Amino acid sequence: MNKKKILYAGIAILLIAFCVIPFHSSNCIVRLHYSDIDEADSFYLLYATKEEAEFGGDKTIEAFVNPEGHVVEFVIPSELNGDITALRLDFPGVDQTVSFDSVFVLSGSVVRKSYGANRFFSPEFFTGTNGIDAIQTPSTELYTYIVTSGNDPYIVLSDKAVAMINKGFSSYFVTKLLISLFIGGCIFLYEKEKRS
Amino acid sequence: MNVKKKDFAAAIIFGLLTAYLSYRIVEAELSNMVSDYTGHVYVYLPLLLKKETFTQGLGAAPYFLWHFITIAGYKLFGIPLEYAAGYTNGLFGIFTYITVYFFVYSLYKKTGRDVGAITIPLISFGMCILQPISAKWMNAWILDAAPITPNPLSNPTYLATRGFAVLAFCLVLDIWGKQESDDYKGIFFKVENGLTRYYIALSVVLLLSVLAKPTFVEMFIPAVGIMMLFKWAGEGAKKDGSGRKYFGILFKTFLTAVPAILIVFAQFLMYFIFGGSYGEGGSVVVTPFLRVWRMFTDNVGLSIILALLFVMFVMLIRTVTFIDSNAGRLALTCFGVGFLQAAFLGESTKLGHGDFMWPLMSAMFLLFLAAVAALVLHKDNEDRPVKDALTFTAWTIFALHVFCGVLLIIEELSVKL
Repeated sequence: MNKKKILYAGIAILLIAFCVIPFHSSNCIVRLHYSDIDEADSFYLLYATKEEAEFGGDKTIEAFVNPEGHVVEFVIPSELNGDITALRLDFPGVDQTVSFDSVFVLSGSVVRKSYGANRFFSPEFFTGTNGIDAIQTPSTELYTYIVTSGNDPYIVLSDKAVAMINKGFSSYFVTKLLISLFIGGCIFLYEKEKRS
Repeated sequence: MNVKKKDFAAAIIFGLLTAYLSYRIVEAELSNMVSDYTGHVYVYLPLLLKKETFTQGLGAAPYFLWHFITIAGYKLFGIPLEYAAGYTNGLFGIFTYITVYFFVYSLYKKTGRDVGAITIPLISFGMCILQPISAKWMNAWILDAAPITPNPLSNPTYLATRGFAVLAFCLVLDIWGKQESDDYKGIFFKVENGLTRYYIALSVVLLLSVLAKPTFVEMFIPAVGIMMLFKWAGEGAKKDGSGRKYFGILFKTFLTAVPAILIVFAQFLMYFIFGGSYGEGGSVVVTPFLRVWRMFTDNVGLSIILALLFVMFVMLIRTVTFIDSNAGRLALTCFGVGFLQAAFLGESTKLGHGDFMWPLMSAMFLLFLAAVAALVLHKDNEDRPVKDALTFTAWTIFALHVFCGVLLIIEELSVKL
């Protein structure tokens, strides 16, 4: 085997390793798009893990209401990838009606899942509520209206929603694959073109 | 290649369109309180206009070409500052357009092929406005206002450097060509009669570029230096005296960069030592790998792919033409230098400004130029439909970048449409 072939074999092994060896995964972002929130305040996402099955303590992610972008954005750190067992979405503790239009789950700069608010706030995605007076989606509108009371309003998300978020963490595999294919392709085509 | 009247008409129309859009962008950006334009027009220009605060203004913006031209419009013609800023942007927009037109025109002239009247103006206009491929589901940019792009429309001083970047690129390529072979005729300039005037021209262009914003030469001079040092090492290995001869060439080329390097040092002194950089104790710091870049995107790899899709495709279909050409190698080295600066450097008090991303963006601009050159200059030995289809696909991807640029401009201007 000549030196060039050894070099290319080495590069191929490095590129395959680059694709296969897991780096840290990306944070998972849950972005709620709202059209109207009366009280500019914080939302909280409480989570339970395999080690600590109860909500509370420091297992809380805070998201400020961003009036400019009309979004509430939770950044779930990559360390929690695959470790979350339950989630609870806490609303600001005031009497108000919040209207959402869509929910996005993003990671690695790619939208991995998107839902209309009527789907995300349907019984399929939550198992229980507290302090929520009503969840309404008028058939003539795109928005889902959630009427909250001042009495610790929250929604406990279902196992399906938790599984969806657990799968939402990107490991950049496709990006790494594309970069490797590009580098490999350049080398292969360069040699091929040179020979011809 | 024949130049007809309709060619000039198309060139002028697209040039004016570039200037007009550059002007309108200032108008739109000034309505945003946190835009770069607002800072330059409402903070730096007033500082530079008063004798008492002039030094302070110079410290805050030691790269003052854009500001001085705007001030000239304001002082000499009484144009209100906001409009003068718009005209300056328009001026630099058309300057970039003309230089890119000159670049593409020279390439086609070299091939001897006839092209449609609209081809060169369209490519030149596209180069001035193209953006990374974007789609809502590929939400690659966390900060929509500051993507990493060859054409960051949000920054006036960067935009002012682009024309000088094109000229410096052309000059270095022709100077290298002549240094490598006495028979070289030049693609962009008539270098067959000697290089002295082109060394001087390169020196002036680099100097003006530094005065517009030092970020281009911070990447370009090291990249040119690295390539020439490698070449010197290669010549030296021959052990026939060519290493010593090439050292003379290298030294002469280095001298052209000296004025620009001195000004860059002076600007760094103004900016960091004498307190020009806003914020207490601002300085250049080495950051963990990609720390600053990740403030702009969660996925650096995807961001590069989206920003350079056209370049990557051309590299695949014209691998030898791209990689074996001085243009391709220089642009790739520039990208390497820019990448390292973007990956490891930041300003301690304002990491989020991504001030060491600018050299990388200039390098991206050069990569696009090199890719255009590889597409235009490549000669197929025979008619091959597959090659034609691939070339067509490459130009389609280029058009997609331009389309994304048009969408961004529409979004920008929609503020005041």
